[in-house]
Amino acid sequence: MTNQHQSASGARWDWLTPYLFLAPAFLLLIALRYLPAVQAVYYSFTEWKGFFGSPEFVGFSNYSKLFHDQIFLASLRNMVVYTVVRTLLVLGMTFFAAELIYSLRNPTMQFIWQVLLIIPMIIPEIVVFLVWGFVFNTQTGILNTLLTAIGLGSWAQPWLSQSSTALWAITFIGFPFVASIPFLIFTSSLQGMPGEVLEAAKLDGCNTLRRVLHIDLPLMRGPITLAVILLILEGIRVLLPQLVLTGGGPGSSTESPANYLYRTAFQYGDFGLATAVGMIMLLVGLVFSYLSLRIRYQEATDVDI
Amino acid sequence: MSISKRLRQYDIPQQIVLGIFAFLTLFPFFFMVMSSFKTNEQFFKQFWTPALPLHPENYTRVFPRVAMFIGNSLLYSIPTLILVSILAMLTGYGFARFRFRGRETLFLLMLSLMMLPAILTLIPLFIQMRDWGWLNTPHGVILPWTSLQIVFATYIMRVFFEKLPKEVFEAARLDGANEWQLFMRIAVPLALPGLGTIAVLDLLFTWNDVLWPLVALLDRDRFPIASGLLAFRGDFQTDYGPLFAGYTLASLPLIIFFVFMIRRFISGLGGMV
Amino acid sequence: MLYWKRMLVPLVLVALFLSGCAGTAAPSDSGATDTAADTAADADAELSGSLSFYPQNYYNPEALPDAAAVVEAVRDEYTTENPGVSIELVPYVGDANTYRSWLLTRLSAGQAPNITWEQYSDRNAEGAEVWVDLTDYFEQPNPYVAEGEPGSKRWADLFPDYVLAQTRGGDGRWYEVSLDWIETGLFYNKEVFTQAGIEPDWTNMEDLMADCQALRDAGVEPVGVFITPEWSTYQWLDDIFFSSAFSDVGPEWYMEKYNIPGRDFRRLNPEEFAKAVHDGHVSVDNERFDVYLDLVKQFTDACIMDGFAGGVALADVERMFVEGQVSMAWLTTGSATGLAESVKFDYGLTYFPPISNAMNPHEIHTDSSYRVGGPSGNAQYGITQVTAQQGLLDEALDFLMFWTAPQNFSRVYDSYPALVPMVAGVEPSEIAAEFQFVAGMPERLVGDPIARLTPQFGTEHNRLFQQFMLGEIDAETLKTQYQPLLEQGATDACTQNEWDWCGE
Repeated sequence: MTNQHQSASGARWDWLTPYLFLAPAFLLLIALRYLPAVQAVYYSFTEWKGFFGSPEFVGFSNYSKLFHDQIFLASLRNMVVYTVVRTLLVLGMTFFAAELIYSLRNPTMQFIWQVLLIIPMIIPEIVVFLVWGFVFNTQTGILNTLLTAIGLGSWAQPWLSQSSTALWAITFIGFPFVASIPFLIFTSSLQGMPGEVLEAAKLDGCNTLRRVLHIDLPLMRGPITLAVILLILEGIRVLLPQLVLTGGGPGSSTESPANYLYRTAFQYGDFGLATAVGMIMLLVGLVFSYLSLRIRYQEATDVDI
Repeated sequence: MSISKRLRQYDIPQQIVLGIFAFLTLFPFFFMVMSSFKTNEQFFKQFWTPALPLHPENYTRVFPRVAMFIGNSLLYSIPTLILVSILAMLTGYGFARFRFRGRETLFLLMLSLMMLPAILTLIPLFIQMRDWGWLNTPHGVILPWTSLQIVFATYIMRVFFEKLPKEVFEAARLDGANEWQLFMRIAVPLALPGLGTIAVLDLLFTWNDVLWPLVALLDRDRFPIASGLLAFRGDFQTDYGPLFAGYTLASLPLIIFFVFMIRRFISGLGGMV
Repeated sequence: MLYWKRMLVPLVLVALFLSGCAGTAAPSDSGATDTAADTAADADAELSGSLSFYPQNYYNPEALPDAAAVVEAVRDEYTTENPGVSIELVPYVGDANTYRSWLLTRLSAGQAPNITWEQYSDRNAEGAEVWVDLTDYFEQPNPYVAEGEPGSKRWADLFPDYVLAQTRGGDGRWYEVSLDWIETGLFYNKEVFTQAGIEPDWTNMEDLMADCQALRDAGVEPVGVFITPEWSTYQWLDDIFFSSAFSDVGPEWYMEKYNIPGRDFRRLNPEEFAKAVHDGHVSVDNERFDVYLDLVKQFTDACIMDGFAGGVALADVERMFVEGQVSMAWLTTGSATGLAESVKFDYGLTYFPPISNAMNPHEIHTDSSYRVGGPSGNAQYGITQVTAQQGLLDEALDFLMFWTAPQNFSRVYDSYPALVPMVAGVEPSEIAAEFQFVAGMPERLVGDPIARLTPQFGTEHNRLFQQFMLGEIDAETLKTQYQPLLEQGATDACTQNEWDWCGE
């Protein structure tokens, strides 16, 4: 019942048509993504110093080195904490902001707020991190100044400069996270929700909280899954806070696999080991996304024209 | 009317919270623009607030180089945008409209690329580009960028096409149109809102990517804006005014693009529910 | 345009190949034993080819347009004299991390500049695999130096012995010329000092630490330094404390081959430090290690500003000094010009006092502190091996000799006089000259942790010390974790450099 083409010319090539649509993209992906990835798999089993000379096969030694390295293990732990906390934070905040906008009665205002919150996506990331570094500064930072001003001076901390708070501080960078794809997904999804459902909810006398919990959330399963996947991927790759602010310290409290990879590759020139780090990041990403996607596609009904 | 009722009528509580969010989110932007008019002395002394006199000469100083880098960026970003759009429409359409052997396997295989960190393939890709003689060429930037962007773009387009009512296609097919004609006449025009989303995401990426152009372009005069701006920070001394003037100039084309695209962008993502 | 360029490259390469053959054929006829003498020093040889040159901070048209213009003028002068040679100047790319990714990928593609900047420790780690060994050429005359001046007989005479010693590779060879030097100094806020009733006239570290307390009581942070796992200014303090704690035994680790006549206390070569670790002299079990840790911790608690271990970079320390948030900032000559422009209060330049026997019970060889300064400057240039394969070695050497000659480098230096020049006949700028009193102090026994053994060792050293200084781990924990780091670092360094004592 798939492509029962009526046209005589189409019938012969019927089975081929979909592949023709996919071919250009897959050619490009094979050449520029899969091929280098396969090479990377090989390099991760080699010792290859400083990009000079040729890689030398060493079996699993890079991997076993990594799993015996306390710093790398710490970077994995940090990655999990950062990813989980940040995913929840971003989901919560962006969903909240999207609901706020959705609850406005005036559609023009809805649009204006959307634009205002989305436009900052264009700010160069490095500027955002510089500013947040200034926010967390121990002596002159806004955060400590504010705490002191409202009489909570004893809460002031060297946020980025102690192991107990540094990871949490970088997790908070970008608060309230609305200049982000998850926010976009939520705000536009809410507006795309079928009106009849909401009318029915109103008639049933649903209050806002109940509506959000019992109608919006279930309806937004798809968008939420998508946002979760994107946030997990972002968490696995986190690098800029380390490059710009902490260097992975104090100690190894903010070390991340991506920073470990970057340093190993470009400062130590140990490319074999760096590639092994990348492979582990890839595997972690695949496992998490596979789980999320399965949930997503169990819900979806495949389109059949 | 009681005050609380009026407050609620104009959604004042929500608007206040949204206002705070907008302030926090826009602050780095204010900071960037504000700092771009300062001398180093003003930057150090009046860190959080605007300082007078303004120093617009920061802009004139960086403009020639920044304009060149922005020109380069356009040279790589626009072809990437076009390629990504075309390929994502074709592929998304292919996945959404047909049932064929290995469809979901292929789709998952493609999506799994999203998990492949670009930094992992940086060196193998670089060596490949070197062996193919693609270093220092525009396509050495455009095609790798495209290959990074089409995956998510295809995902968006697939979901988008799946949402289109099938009746549209049925009617056209009965008129004797072949698959290619269906795609060109019906799918492409309907896909435009979805393309808005892709365009914005793609442009945000290509405008900010530092690492690939840094390694793939040997000649600094060919750098796109993000890589070019790296040189504005010295090892010992940074002139913050010109640095932030550079960042501000760099974000102008994006702002303009956003202003034109924003409606499409928002409604395009709406299709993803 | 693009295709035209692409056509040009093979043509040029063919031309170079032909001229290269001719060039190497001639001397080999006359007996090719002394190739070095036949090369750059031979001014009559016809030089031709196109070179690329990355002068680092001296050529940054964005941030330093004036200096860039001077560099272009000097280049043009050379190419006018040598019409066969063209030199492409490669502008500044970005900070250390950025540059390193840029350079490493280019090196692997054989596309790095012919003459290029790199940090000496990284360059020496790469060694002859990547860089041309300059040792023999250092013995040749530099034809661009005026007759009778240092360098005219022997190129190396242009550079001070300690610079040569510190930029020497682990294999004892030289892969770069290093033409300028970073000197450090302690900037202090005179107004805050006066208010707190303090003079920078400390006779020893305890005096300084007592004054730090007075400053804290007055509500100002004492010393601005920072530490992250990457490069950071705390490392300089680490050098001083280590040098002091081990000063009585350090000279016993010197190896004959690295000795410099007339210097009986000098910085350890990486091989000497690694060997000292290997032989168990540098070890957490050495009682001097406890002295060293004690110095670090006491000074940190007394003097270092809060929040030193994250989110703060060199620019932030400068900013905090300008804003009056820290009363002292340990900075380099590189910051001096910027501070002169933005500081509006009265400030001065001083240095750390020596460490007395009260804090270090062992015999101390000097009543001075140690000079923290080093060759990690803006003008560290080496020639890539690819250049030799392209047959451009003569041209590159000749240009490098031209560039290092005092009449030429002085113009380049004067256009951006941030550091201290290390070429005989080039005078330091006024601002750099203010750091002269630091230059008179004895050398430190060890360099920064990142240059002691391997870069990895430096990163991990900083991590542990961050936690120790913050009080997150105690001395015992640090020691248990530090010893394996030391041993691993020494082994790695030894294997990399193929020193002969690794197996022992």
